[in-house]
Amino acid sequence: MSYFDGVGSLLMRTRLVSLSLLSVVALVATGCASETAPQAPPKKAALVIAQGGLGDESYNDLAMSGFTASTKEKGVDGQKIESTDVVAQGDQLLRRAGTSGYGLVIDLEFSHGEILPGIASAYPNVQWAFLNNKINGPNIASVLFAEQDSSYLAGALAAMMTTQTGNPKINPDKKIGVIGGTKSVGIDKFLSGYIEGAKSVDKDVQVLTAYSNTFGDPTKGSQLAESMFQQGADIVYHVAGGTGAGVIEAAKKNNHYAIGVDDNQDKLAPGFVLTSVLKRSDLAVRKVVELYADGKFPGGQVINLGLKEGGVGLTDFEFTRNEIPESARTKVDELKKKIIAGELKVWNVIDQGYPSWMQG
Amino acid sequence: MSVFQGSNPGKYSRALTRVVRAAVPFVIALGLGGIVLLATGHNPLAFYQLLVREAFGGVDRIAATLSAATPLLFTGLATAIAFRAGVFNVGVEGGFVFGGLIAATVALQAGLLAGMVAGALAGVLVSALPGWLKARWNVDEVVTTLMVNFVVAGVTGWLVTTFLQAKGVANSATALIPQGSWLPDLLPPYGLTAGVLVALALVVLYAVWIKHSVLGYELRQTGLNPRFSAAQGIRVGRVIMVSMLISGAIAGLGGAVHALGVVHRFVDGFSPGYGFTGIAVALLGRNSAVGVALGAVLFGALASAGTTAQLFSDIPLDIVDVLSGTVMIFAVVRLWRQR
Amino acid sequence: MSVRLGARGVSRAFGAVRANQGVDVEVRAGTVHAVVGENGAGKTTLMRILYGLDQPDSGTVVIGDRPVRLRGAADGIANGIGLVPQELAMIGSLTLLENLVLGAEPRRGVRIDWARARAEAEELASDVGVELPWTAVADTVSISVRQQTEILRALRRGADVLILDEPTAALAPAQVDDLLRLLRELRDAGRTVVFISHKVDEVLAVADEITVMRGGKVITTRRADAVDRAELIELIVGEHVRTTGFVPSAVIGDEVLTVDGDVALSVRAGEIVGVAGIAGSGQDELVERVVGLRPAGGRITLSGKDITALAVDRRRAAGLGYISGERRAEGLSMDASLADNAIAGTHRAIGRRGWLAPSKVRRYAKRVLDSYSVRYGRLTAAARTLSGGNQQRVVIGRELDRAPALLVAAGPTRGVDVLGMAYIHDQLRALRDNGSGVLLVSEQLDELLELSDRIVVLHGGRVAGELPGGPESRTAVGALMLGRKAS
Repeated sequence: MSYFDGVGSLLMRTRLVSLSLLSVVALVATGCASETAPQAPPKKAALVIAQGGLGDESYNDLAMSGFTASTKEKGVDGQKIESTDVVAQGDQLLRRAGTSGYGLVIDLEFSHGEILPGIASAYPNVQWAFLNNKINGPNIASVLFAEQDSSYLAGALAAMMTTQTGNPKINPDKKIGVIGGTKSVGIDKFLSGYIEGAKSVDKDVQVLTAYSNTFGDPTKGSQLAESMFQQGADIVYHVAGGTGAGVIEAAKKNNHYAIGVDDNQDKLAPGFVLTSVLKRSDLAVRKVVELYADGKFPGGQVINLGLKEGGVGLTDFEFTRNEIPESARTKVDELKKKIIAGELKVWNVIDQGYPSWMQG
Repeated sequence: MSVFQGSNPGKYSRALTRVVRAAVPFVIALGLGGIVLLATGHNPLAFYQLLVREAFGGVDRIAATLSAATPLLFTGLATAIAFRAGVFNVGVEGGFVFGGLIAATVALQAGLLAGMVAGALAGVLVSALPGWLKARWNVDEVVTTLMVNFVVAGVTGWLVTTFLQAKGVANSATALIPQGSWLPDLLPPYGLTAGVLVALALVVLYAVWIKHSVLGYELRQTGLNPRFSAAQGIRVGRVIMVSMLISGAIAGLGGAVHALGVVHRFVDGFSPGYGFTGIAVALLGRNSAVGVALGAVLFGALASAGTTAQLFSDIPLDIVDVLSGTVMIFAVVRLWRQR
Repeated sequence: MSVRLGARGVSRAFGAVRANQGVDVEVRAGTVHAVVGENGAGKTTLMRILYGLDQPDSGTVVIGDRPVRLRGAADGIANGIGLVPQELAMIGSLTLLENLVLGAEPRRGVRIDWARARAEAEELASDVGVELPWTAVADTVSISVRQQTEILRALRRGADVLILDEPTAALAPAQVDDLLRLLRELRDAGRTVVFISHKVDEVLAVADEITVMRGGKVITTRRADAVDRAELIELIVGEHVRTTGFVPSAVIGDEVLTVDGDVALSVRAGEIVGVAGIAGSGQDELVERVVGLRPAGGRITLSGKDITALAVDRRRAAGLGYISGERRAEGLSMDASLADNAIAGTHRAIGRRGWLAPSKVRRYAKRVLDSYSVRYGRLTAAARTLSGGNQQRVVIGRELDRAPALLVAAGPTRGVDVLGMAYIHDQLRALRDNGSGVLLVSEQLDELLELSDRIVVLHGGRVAGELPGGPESRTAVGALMLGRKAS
């Protein structure tokens, strides 16, 4: 009983409270009166940010940049929605978006996949877009990325590099590595493509695999990468979000290579990130916004973003160009062309299940 | 004793004092938030008005607020019960998460009721060891419950990426629970589940139990003065153990309700720290039933309104974090003064 | 002798409570002046006014025959007055030396001159004939040592008048003797001491003059050699206190308690067994073993039943009552309601199928408090809000109402005033006369001699001897307490 005591502080408190009570009453009164009426023009679009939030320097940030740019270009009123509890609030959040005059809602949060069809059918006048998974519904557009294709190219490049001589970052062992964030089909889609690409170049190349079981722990990433380098790997590809920062750091420390993912991570450790496997969530969002703004929203359809569309791909080796032999770059280009032309079909774990090289 | 209490021995003025004291952190938070809003060129009144509307301005919004408050009712209550016995249990988060995983797994096979029971038992399991260590050897419960949280995070993270992971799902999640085993919706389509009724029933039960049951009496006395309690023949160790087990059961049940009602599976990001917000709820509500209920609704309102307010305003979510963060700091200051 | 410090017509009211009403006091220089009275007589209020911590509503403080106005403690210190409060205001984590010089450190440049501080401290201590462990941390030393430090601290600030507010309340008997010796030493060195107490024997032992206060007024001031014990008690209380004296038990029955081991003793029905010993002779261990708060070596029986392995609640159910020596920490739960305090230990019996009916709890608590004359407002008020004497009545009522076969009473009158003490003594005798056994542990030899049928003396954790109760045993008990053979 100390600082709250005394008549003076009591008077002060009572005044504070009555003031705040008044203001709350006022808020409620005016709040109910000025309900915003849904307006037709201008077109409004909302972007629901996924777990991890903005500032992840990857998926969310990239999507956000595409959203900001495209809504501005197309004159659409764009609004982002973040939540600290995006998993549990999904239902209420999306429903509220459905009743708030938005014509388009793009949802980046993967765990909303199951609830989306119900909500979309409850709000048929709103267009809904979902990334990374195919969701059925006449007013839902799904965007899928062909990450297996870009990972295939990365695997092929890594296999060619690991047999290189005269590069201090490359050791004699024919070993490369890959670290997944979690053991799931969504991640194994990357891993499978990477291994397939590596084996296609040289079937004797050994690919070490590991899972960090977390997307947010750079220390774990660093430890896993260190251990792979010790086992003789010299190039480690990470598909593990924030955990990957540790992989890149370990590559720099041990004078080896890492391969980045999603965003262009080459600049995080110039010269030590061989390349990054791009997944252009910005392009996906931009495409959806543009189609919506033009009145061509592909409801009920799947938008496939592959090498051809530029939705996935490798970086242009800004810092490692001189270390990669001309022949290797040519070979990667050839493979890319073959995939785009349909001559080469990379295994897709999601559609086809696990391939022979990923059993056990 | 304050002059106020001395000169006004009436029941209502004491009640008023308590309400005033409980409201102080919130009022200061609004003031602080207002300053930040003004400094960034926004109109605080307009924003607060928006928040009130998004929290309570319609059946759908009230449903959203209650839905967001539901996990906090469980974690706040679980924390309050342990605090009341003088046990500073910060392991409610672990009980909630583990309860959620086990409930989601069991419900897949055995249905809703079995899932709820299993979730509560899982929570009990999480709190049993720290409870025993505290009761038997007086091992500091803050350390042990905090460690248990880490263990649970590790174990659930591992299970959900190995044995319990759903086939063909692209992220770390268990399989979707069939709709027959979901907690029923109260106000379709607003997504408010019967879980909130379970929570409120527990809060009412707690209010009566802590005040009028023999065990509740022993729990209160143990929390107020363990030495006195022991000398009067209250088995302090047993009371501490019981309080931890009940706390764990409520935490686990909370996880079960969250899994079976809202998420319909266990998934990465299942709890954004409900257990820790529950500590603030319990502190703010002074471990009383009414206080916990109000605290949970307050934080629930901030969470639900803060999210959907972004649909109507350019003000970032951060300002809502400032509000709830300020309230939490005051709750913790109170704790510090108590200890 | 002139008046060093005094009050003329001082009145002070707090709301409806008139703490001081027209108080006149004159403390002569170079004397020990005792101010005595029951709890709430207005002693502490007067002392705060004399020191400058509080200001009178009317009347004035007198210093050196001149009326003065003291506006704060600083004025008191400037006039050479030092106050040693009841709750010692020391910083527990600092050493005694640091506490001594705190706020007035000797400096050399900007740095504290610790060598000089130490020298000053030693000199002060040897002046008054004490030795203190200057480098010990305050929290680790006894209350007695902290009190001496506080006295030296006042002297160091130039006080030649020392006001001590109930300085013996928390001290063991041997420490009381040391303190009284120190006060005489101070007087003989020409200083003036104002000594507040409600313990008649201490006052008579040390004071030159005695001012008696009751209900906020000064009743009289007497020379100490012109008043005897009984008269002084009557002056303090305001009525004739029936001092029962030693009344041995009429009927003694079977053993209700036997204890084996280092301290082996027994208590029979209808008997009060006193346990004497200087502090730390094994009394606490004995009490905790009997009550069940400490694992026991050796065997303990209650009414013929082996309770060695039983927990506290089972022992209570078997007929044990316990008045704790530490009322604030163990006897009561200060923040819990009076009702909750009153039902503690009986709550399981009051409960029905695990629930406590509020009406039943209220009725039970009200009956206990009323039948032991506890003055209280509401049953929901915290125990903290009662005065010390009333708090102890709650404990007495709770334990005696159960009519225990054996009552363990540790310091049952600690901090209780004269009237309250007589009341508690009567209650203990009545319990005995109804056929219960009482194990009475007390630091007050007078209490033990007056109440006990037998006295067991502990020394160094063992039984040093056993003597009959009554005033004749005083010398023999005193010798055994110090480890000498009884002659």
